[in-house]
Amino acid sequence: MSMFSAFEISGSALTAEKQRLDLVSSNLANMNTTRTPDGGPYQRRTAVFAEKLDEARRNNPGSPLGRGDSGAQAGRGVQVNSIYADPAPPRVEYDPEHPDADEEGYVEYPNVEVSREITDLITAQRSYESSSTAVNTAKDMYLKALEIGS
Amino acid sequence: MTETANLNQIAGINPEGNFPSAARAEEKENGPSFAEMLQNAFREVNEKQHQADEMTEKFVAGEEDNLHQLMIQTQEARLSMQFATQVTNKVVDSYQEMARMQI
Repeated sequence: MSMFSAFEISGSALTAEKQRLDLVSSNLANMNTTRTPDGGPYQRRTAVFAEKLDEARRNNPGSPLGRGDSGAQAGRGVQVNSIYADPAPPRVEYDPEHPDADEEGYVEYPNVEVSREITDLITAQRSYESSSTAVNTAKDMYLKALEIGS
Repeated sequence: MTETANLNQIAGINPEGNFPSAARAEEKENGPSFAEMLQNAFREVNEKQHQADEMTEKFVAGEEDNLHQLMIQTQEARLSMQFATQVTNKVVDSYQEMARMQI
């Protein structure tokens, strides 16, 4: 654990939340995208977060977080483990004029819901704010420590 | 740690100090001297400053896109610097305290 471990941990959270924001932006931007390189409409993407572990914890995955245990430390933050595409069925609309409409005139649109994306957006924003507050608090604490005895 | 042990460590700052060489030999056995410790600490502070500088350059050049990482790195550099300043102040204070001592 380095001196600035709180910074490192909160920094990883900020990076992860930024990535989530990117994904939400991408989902919103591609709300009406009917063409993708893989064929078919765009699929909503979400991030899976995983705890970043330090060496000792990674080598003993089962060890309890007990007192005095090597795993009793705070870890090293969070990271985006993977990005997965939502397998939910696409939104189908009747629009025979559309170039991507099937023989019956139905177009498959991405399975992106605005309300859900906005909720995710606000969650990401609040989480980012919390981590940022944690960084600032850590900084204030270090500065307080430097004032000891002066 | 006793007061005398602290005095022996401070001797490390001044290479021409008139402290008995026996004390020096003893302090070598106990690990790095105070001067070495101080030097290492300053080297680390310097390193942090360089890292922050490098990151700022990268960010300005558009190679780095995480603004928060840059801000955190800068804060780390700033805090390390302030810490080093505090340590230096304390060392100078104790040195002056000793310089004022009547023998």
